[in-house]
Amino acid sequence: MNINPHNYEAFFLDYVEGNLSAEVVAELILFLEENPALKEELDDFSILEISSVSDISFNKENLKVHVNKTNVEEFIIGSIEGINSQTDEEELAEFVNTDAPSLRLLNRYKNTILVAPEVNFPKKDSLKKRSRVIVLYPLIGAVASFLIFFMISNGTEQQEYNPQAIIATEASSEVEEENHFIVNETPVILENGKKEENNSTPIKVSPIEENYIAPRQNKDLALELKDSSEVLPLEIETPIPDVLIVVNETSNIPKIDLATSFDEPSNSDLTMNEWANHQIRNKVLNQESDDVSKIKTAEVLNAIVGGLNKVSKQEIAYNNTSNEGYTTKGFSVGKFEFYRTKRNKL
Amino acid sequence: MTRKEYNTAVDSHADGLYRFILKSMKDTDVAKDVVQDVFTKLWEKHVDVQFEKSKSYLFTAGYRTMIDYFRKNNRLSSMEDSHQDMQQHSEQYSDLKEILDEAVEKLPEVQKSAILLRDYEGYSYKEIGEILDLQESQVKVYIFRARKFLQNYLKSIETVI
Repeated sequence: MNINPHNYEAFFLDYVEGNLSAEVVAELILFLEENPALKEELDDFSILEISSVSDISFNKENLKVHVNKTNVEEFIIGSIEGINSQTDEEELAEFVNTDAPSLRLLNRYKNTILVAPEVNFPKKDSLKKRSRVIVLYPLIGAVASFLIFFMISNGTEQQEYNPQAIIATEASSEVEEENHFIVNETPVILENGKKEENNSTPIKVSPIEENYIAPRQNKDLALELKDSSEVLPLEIETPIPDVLIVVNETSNIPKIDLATSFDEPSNSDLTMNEWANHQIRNKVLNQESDDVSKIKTAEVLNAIVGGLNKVSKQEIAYNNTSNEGYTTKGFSVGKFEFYRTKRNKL
Repeated sequence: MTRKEYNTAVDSHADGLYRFILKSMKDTDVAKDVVQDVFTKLWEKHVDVQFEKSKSYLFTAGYRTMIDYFRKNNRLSSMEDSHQDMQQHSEQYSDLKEILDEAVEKLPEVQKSAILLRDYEGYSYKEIGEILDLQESQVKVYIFRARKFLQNYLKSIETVI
C-alpha cells in the first residue's frame, strides 16, 4: 500500500472506522511523520461524528392554517363546495359564531348555490327511437302476397275470360223470390157435385236455388278455340218444374250439380298440391315425359301458375326464356310483372 | 348502448341537458335544436358510447355545439373570463332567485357553464373538466371566482336596497 497525498483521505477514514490492518496503520503513521500538516487533519477527521437528532422536536401545529378573518372566505367557499375536512368545518362553524360579518358572508355564499328550475324538454318522445321490424322477404314472398291479395279481393267478382274454362251459370228461377204463392187452378168439386169457380187454397212454391258451376277443364273445347274472344259463358236454362208441389216447407228440390256429371274432378275441389300432381300425372300419362323425375322445374312452375290462374281468376303467367347467354325468368300477375335476368354459366 | 338504454338516456337526461343549454343560450328554439342535434349524435354513436357515459357525452357534445353556435354568431366575447359590470343591475327584484339569475347571466360563459354543471347536475370538478375540456384545477378556480362574483353581486344588491 502506498499512501500518498492523493489517496490519504481513504486511509484516514478506514483508520477512524478501525478497518486498517496493523501493517497499514504503521505505514499511515510513517506517512504522517513525513507530512505533519496532515496529522492535524486526521485529528479533525476523527472528531466529525454525526450525533443523533432524535431529540429535536418539530411543532407541526405551527404549519397548520386556521380560520381567521383574512381566509374565512376561502373556508366558506370550501364549505359551500363540500370540499372542507370535518376539522375545517368545525373550526369554521366555531369562527362564524363568534364573528358576525363572517356569518353574514357565509349566508350570502349559501345563497349563491343555484337551484335547478323545473324545465322539461318538449316532445321528448320525438327523441326516442322505436323498434323497427325490417322485412326481408324474398321475391317469392312478395309474389305470394300479391297472389293471396288478388285471390281474396277477387274471390267474389264475376269470372273473367279463361281460355281453358267454360263458365256455366244456371239461370235463376223465374219465380219471384218474394211471391212464393201461386194461383191454384185445380178444380174443386163441391159436395153437391158442382164445380167451384176459384180454388182459394194457395199453393206455395219453394224458390229454386241458384247453382253456380265453377270453371272446369275441358281440353277438347280449349284446343279447338284459337280466338279467346269466341269463348262465351254458357248459360244453362233452369228447367221449370212441370208439377207444382203442394205446400210443404220441408221439401226441397234436389240440387243440380252439373259438375259431378263429368268424368274429371272439379278443379274447385282440388288443393294446389292435388292440382299440380294431377297436371304432372296427365303429363306422364300423355307420354310427354316418361319419367316424373325428369320433369323440369319450369314445367312444375308452369303447372303451379296454371293452378293459381284458375284459383285466383287472374292472369298469372310464368316465363322462362334463354337468349344469347342470358336467362330471363319472369312472373306476372295481371298488370304487375317481375323479371330477373341472369347470365348463363359458361 | 342499446336502443332501450338510449331511450332511458332520453328520459333521464333530456330535461337536464335542455335546461343547461337553455340557461346558457337564452333561446328556446336554438336550445331545442341543440338538444335534438346532440341526441342525434348520440344515436349515431350509440354502438360506441356506453350507457354509463351517456350523460357525460350528452353534456360534452351539448357544450361544444353551443360553443360552435356562439362562434358563428359572434358571441365569443361572452366566453372570455371577464365579468360584466356588476353595477348594472335592475332596480326592481321580486325575490332572490331573480337576482341570482341576473347575476348568473353576467358571468363569463365558461364560469357560468362550470357553476351550472356543478349546481344543477352535481358534477365533480373532474367531470366538469372533461365536459368543458379544462384542467380540474382550472375548473376549481372558475367556480371559486363565479361564487365570489355572485356573492359580491348579492352584497351590492343588499347595499342598494
